[in-house]
Amino acid sequence: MARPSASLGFLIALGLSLAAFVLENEAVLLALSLACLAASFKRLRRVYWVYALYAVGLTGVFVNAVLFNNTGSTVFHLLGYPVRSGAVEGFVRVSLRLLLIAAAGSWFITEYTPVEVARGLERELGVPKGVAYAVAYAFRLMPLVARDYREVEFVRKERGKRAVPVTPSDLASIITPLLRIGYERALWTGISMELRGFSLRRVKREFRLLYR
Amino acid sequence: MLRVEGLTASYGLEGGPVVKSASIELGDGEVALVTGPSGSGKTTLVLAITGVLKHLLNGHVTGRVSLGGVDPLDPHGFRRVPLVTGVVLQDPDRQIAMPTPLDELVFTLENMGYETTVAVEKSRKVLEFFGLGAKASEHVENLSLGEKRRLTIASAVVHDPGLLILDEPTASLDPWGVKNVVNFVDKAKRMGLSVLLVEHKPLFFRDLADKTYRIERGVLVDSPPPPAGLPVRRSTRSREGGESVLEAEDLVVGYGEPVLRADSIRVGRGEVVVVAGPNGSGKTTLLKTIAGFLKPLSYRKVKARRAFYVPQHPDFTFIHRTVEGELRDAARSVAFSELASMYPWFDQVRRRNPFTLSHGQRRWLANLVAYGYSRDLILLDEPSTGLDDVMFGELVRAVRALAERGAGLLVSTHDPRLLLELADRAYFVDGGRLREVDPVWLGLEMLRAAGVRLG
Repeated sequence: MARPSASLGFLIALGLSLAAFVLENEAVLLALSLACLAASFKRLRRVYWVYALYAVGLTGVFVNAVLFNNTGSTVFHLLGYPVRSGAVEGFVRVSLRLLLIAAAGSWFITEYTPVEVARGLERELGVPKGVAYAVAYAFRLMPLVARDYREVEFVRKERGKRAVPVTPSDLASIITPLLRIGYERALWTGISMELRGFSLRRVKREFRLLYR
Repeated sequence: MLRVEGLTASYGLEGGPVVKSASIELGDGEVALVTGPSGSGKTTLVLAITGVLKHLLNGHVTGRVSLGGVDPLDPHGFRRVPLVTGVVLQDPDRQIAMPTPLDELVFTLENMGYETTVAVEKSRKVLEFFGLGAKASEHVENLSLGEKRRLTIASAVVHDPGLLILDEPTASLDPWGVKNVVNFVDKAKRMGLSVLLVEHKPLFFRDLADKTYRIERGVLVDSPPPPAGLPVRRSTRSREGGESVLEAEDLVVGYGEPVLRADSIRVGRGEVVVVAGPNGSGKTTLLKTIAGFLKPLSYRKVKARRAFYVPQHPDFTFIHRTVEGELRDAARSVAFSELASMYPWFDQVRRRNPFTLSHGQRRWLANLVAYGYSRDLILLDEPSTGLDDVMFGELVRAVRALAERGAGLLVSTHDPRLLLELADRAYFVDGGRLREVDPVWLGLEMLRAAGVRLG
């Protein structure tokens, strides 16, 4: 079955994300979000973290709405504090905007392999090869960084330290080993890519609308 | 195929040369082995020969190099190096750039100008040759370390170069993985590929090498082949452990699914017990379970004193900005002064950031941090990875010092040296089950599995 090419997919996801900032109608925002969710439904487990972040973000959206847009009639009380219609409307609209961005992003991530994305950006949109392949490398790197983080977290617990950083010092002691190891890894991977002819790579420009 | 004359290399003009006036001559289908201790300049030699040091790392390189007629020290020649040479770096995780094995090989071929469809077809054939055909589209993180190593070799030779350069290809591999690499070098040699092997464990390749060089403090000299047989340097008798610091029976560990079952395992005070087995056999899971960070799937008895787990990468252990800070913070069950006195370089490096120490010093410091937290049971995960014989000797000294002070040590490894030179007792992971075996016997068996002919 034909599907949009990676570059077209990228443009669609980018367009939907930009539309999320412009659209005012909640029904349209919801419909577009649901369409994206339906398109990536079978692979949603791969991007559960996008929705976990979204759920965390909703708390901030709600606090923001209550603090800065708590106008109109009272809709309900939360811990004795009146939550008014302006806050509810603001919360719903911003949540839907974020949902559309999350859904468009996760559709794009699940629809294409990292190498398809890199190739699409490079060949079809003319993005420099160094930038395009950094995307593919980022996908390669994510599980490694997650593994490193688990090791750091493990040892911190073992040493009786907070696993979740609270102070700048906590943050520094978590980030330093991750950055140090990440930097060395990136340096050597760059050398490895050069030794496999990355600078010889010639880009054949082509624009495709569909992959069959 | 490879000619190096009077090669001198340094990291910048101000530092002294790391490689001094090196010369190598390698004909078609020949294998040359370069050995030498860590820090002697082996990797720098590889980086200098391939032009990476001069063109990517701003190093200073003089002398003459020809890789199949290409001069890598010339900027135009450097761009052509990948066409004639395949290079395999030490750590597969730092070499693999793409998310799947197929992408990794296609990437190399596309760089060389292959059409994507042709590149995919050729890559699949090469992956089949390396036994990775079924895993072509798996994420590389789902591959074992041995498979990752095979993938790095496959991606270095997929475009049929005339010369292959391998930098420490057996680092982190279990004996079975080592045997795979040795077999490949043997096949490559018979197919007429020239191979430059840089390796601090020359024993594995002694039968394949046509020429052997040794590099020490940057000076490369012709060297006789490494001796056959095994220098077993174990000088002391295995010691009986004292009071138990770990006793477990019918312990089953794993992440949801059982990975490893220990019918019975015991560690006594002052004892070094080694758990050996292939990569991915559940050794780390066992250690993390004993440390209390994973729940056992089932057990009849687990009785363990306070344990401290030291990860394979010592850097993960550090949380302070100075060596002194690390030891002061770690001084929980042992006085700071005692910890400081056990660190041979303490006075010189007390104000240094732990991350700036040498690998051996970092490993030693991580072990002391563990000892500071627990005088009872220390769990070391693959502590000898990447250590040459000199640094390995330091590790043995550090571990022995902890054992002599009454700590019990449980060490996971696939390195036969630990069995031959350090273990008082050993367990082997055999078909998912832990079985107690004689450490020297197991060490020798593992060497045999790696293809070493023992005298």
